[in-house]
Amino acid sequence: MRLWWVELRRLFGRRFTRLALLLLIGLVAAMVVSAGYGSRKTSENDLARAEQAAAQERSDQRARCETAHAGGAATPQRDRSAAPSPTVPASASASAAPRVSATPRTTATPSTSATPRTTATPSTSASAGARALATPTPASTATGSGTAPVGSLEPPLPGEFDGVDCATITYPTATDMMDHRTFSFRDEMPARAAFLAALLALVGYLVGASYVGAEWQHGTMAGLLLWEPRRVKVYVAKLFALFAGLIAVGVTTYAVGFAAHWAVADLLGDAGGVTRGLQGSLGLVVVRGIALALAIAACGFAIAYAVRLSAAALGAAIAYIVGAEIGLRVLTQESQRWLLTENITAWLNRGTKIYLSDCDSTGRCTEKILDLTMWQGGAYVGGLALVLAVVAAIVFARRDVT
Amino acid sequence: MAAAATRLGSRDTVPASSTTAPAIEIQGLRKTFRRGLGARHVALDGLDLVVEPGRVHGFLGPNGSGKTTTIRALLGLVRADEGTMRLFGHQVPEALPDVIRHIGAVVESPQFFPHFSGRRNLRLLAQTAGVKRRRVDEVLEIVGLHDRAKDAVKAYSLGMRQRLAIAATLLKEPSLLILDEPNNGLDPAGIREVRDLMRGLADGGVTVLLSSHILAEVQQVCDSVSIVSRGRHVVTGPVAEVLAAGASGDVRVRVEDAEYAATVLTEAGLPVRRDGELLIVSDVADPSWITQVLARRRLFVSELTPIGADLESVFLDLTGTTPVPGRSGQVGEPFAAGLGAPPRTDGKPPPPPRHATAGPAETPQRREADNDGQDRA
Repeated sequence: MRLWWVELRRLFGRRFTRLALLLLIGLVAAMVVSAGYGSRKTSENDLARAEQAAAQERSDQRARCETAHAGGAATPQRDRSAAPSPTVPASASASAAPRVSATPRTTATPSTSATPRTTATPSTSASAGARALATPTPASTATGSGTAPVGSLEPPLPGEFDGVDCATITYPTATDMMDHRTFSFRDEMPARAAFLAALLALVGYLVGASYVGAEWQHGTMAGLLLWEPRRVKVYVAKLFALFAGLIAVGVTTYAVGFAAHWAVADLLGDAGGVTRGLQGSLGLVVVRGIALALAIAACGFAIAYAVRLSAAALGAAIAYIVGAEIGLRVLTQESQRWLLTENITAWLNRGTKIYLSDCDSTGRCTEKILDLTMWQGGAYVGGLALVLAVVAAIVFARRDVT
Repeated sequence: MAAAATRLGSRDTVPASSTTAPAIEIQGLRKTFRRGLGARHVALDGLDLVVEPGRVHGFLGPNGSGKTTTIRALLGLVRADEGTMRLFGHQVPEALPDVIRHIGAVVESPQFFPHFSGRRNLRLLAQTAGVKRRRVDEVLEIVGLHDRAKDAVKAYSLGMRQRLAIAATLLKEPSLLILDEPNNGLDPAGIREVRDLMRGLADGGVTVLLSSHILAEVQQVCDSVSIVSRGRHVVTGPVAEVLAAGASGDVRVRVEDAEYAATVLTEAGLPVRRDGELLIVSDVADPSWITQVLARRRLFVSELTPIGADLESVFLDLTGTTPVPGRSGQVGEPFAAGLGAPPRTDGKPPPPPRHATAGPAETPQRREADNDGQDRA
């Protein structure tokens, strides 16, 4: 009890730890600024215009869909009864059309885009043979400058509406057709919380490695062992102190981050829709994020402890990124399920899909999907951290301190 | 520092079952360090050491002789390959957690967190062992660092770091103080303060093991001394006995007619040589006999001084490290003929030094070494 408390005090007394915390605070501040940047609240008027535009766009898509089902030769005509108001920007209307069935790769990077819809969205990925989900291009991020044809629509692409019931097209919605960006706490916070977990993990890795690596380099480990010769106890106390510190920092960071984002949403965006369900979901993201940070920090701690050098942990991380995340990923697709990034993604996002492309000699490719569940990802990352921590403890217990 | 040492009497006592045991008892300690490509270095080759409680005990040996490795093994930092070690009767490293709170140690150069202040470094250590906070300021006062306690350790000189290290050892109010080269970097006043501190502690019942190369210092402050060489024990005993064992038996004689006196003494069977106006008479068991011989010929002695050995010459002699003109010494290798070839890899013990018979620490290994030495002689 006493030793880990002393170690905790030393951990937070270190200059590097304080610098890392400053870095973390800066990054969280940048996230908050990015949330508010360019965002404004949506007025009733904005909403009405967007709803009109969305209705027009859906109508156009249905027309294109029906044209495609009817044979696809004729150019579909725009439904004048659902014509958008002249104030609706043509660019928004044009950009919202589903064109590409992009693979929705889950990511920890915060996105300002709307949550992907899973309603009947036409797919153009006929060759893949899979019914992929369409990823909309939100109106808020529209950059297209093309002008929609007046009185006629772009003819459907071959296979674009195959298997799609035209009556079920419900996309885009008014949110997608907004002509300005509105930061939505409900929609964007889960992804931002996952990104925060990645930041915490990075800080944890660096602090964990530096915390013990510096002690070996300064020679103070030997001094400490003259006061507490039970090495396993010393090791556990240090690891426990690191965990305790990281949990405290993680909880505080999340609390401050959530509060700041909610304030931004309340002032400049949409702070509504924070239901109990969302609160629970964010709470679980926090738990998973802090657990991830602990595991990654334990990895850095263990490597630096075993090798007795902070730089070794940094070197190991770089070697892993170059050798595995880049090299292995390029060499063998199947190895992706063993990569840390995929498993971390699965852990943070409650599972992920890994898309593997298998092409034959004729150039025809089929897509294979590997499902990685949250628990698989968590067990993999946690197991790796546990193995490293145990190996480092054994090395520390047995090696001479000279 | 010295005056404050008298305030150190409130320390915890060592576990009662072991108060009569030697403070340190080491037998047959062996340690081999493995290096790259299968290379091995024998640091300790069956070393023995006994330190009685309540004494200041000097621990001497040339560079690379195994002093620091012995201390590290004793404190659990290095795992010994063979041998037994006891601290106050408790076998270590097994019982080290029980006795470590009675032991203060400085091993080689003192190491602290450079960006923390001296006081903060000590407070962290004190909290580790549950030492009261006010004790930190007490020991800082003792070592003369109270006014610089707020400064970061990186701003300290080597001598100040050494003082801080000594302060750290005093935090626990130890029963055994192990100091490895405590005078490194200290100014003359600091050296005297450390010397007085050690004496004060010993007077208060603390056992001090002092590893040092400053032999004059050891000679002044230590009650007993052990000399090791190349990982083996060479001699142990009270300083006076070790010095006596290293004494040459020569006597310096001043007499008015030195020429005639030399003739008389030579006729009496004593080896005599001239040293200016003085005579140096060798192999004299009882210097008064010189007076008697010369007085019978009406030669009256105005000075009769046995030439004693100092610790430095005894040390150099025993460890075979007396510098030889025109030859550079190598760490771990003696200068003296017959002591040069390291016997580490063939398992045979090294040839013993000439004076290995002095001292009370008689062990089987020691007797073997003595016999070997006599054979060679």
